[in-house]
Amino acid sequence: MTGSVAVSLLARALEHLDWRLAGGIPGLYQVWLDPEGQDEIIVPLDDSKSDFDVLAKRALDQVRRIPGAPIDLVANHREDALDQLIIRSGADSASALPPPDIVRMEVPVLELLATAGKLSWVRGGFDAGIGELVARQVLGMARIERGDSWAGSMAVQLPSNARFGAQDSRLITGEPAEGMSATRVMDALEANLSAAAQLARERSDLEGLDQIVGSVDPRIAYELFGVLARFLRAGRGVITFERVRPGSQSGQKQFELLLDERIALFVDEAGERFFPAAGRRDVILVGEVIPVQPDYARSDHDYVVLIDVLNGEFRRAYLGLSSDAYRSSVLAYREGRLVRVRGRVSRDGGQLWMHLPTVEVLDKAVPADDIPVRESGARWNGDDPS
Amino acid sequence: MMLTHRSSSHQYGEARLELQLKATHQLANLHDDHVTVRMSRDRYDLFRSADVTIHRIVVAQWQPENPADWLQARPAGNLLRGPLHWVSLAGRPASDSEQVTISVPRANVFDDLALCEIMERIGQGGAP
Repeated sequence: MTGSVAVSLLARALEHLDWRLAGGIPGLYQVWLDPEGQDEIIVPLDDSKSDFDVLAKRALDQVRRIPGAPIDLVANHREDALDQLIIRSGADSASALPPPDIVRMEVPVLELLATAGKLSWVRGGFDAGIGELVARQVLGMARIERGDSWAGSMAVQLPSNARFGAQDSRLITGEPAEGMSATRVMDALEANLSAAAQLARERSDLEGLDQIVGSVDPRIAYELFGVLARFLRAGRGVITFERVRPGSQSGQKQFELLLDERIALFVDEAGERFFPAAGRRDVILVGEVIPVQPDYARSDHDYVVLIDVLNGEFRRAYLGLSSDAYRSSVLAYREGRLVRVRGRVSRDGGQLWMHLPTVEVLDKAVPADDIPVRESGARWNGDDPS
Repeated sequence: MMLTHRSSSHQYGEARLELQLKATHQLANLHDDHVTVRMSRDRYDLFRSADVTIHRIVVAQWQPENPADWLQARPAGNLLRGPLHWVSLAGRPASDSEQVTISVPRANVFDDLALCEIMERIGQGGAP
């Protein structure tokens, strides 16, 4: 829903900026106060109200002016496109879908992006907005640095039985057809994007990307992101990314799969940011077990174990484990092994929680150099698992 | 201008009201029973919206041409003299004019009592 999209973006931005929710009327609007309690921002909630767009735009403008506002609210997005993303009305296409067959389309879209430094002014195909959004919110900021070389392909998979509403269809294909199929949408996207991608491929230096003005409606980028987020959030779509390692030359491409299962955590967060009402999906974390203080346990039945995902790129997740999973985790801890944990992630007090995930102890021992430093004073809770 | 009134008597503890303040010193705008002011069509469209998140009213003041007759600057602050009047435009018809003329009834005196009554109505889920 439009309201939830706006609230999701603005409320998260305000939380990030240490503003606090100070009041409002349930279902109608929220009132946020700055840390000093001097300024307030009203975030509208009900998009059926006639002044919703005015208030949402007003709130967005206010948030943008706050020093330190998140990049996705202040970056070089065109005003109309960002507003389109936030304010546009539309149903959640994923909400009523039965289990899917998969339609697959590979889009050489990242060739259009070329370098992260060029993202700002690539017009046609995917432009600055989608580049930044994908980089920062889907893939996670940790892996994306300005100046990275970007090329490769993105594969989009959507359920073949998906149907798109008239507004979605119009934005993607230019035709306001109610109930447009995923296949038709994919065909339209492919036709539009491949033409622009061909132009990019024909340019050896990629310096002229900012001159590419394809036939693609730039709103497609935003719409596609939204569509992807919905399907990913519902666990019904799959997106894979490949990129060229930074600094590699054309013809010597070393592709690496960027969107692996662990990245799903970020996809999940990104989806929640834009479509908080959609269902959650399982994510998989691989990491090291670290014992924590019993104070972290939320009930007598929870055993809490911290996991640090290797490479230091991810935050810790707090796990509420069954007795068997707890014993497995202790075993992994004592033997220096990694564990693979699968479950649904939720937030509580800014921390990631997985309740009753499955835990699998991996055979391979953790290389000593890869083990993050543990927090001092950490210890097991009161139960002896042995 | 946004006014907020917090009270346990309100359904949700607070009532909000957005004001558009207008003033005119032209005699032609002062009538026996109303004052006329003008608004841009964009503002008019916003203020004439009926099903809204935040209720809105227009507050108008007719001011004599000589500022000394309605404004006094004092060390403790400025004193604005003269009656204010208010009107809700909710439900008004659309207008084709770039500048829309608004009639504000002089019977609708905007003072502390009127403001309390307006906030009370909004706080109970009603309109100004």
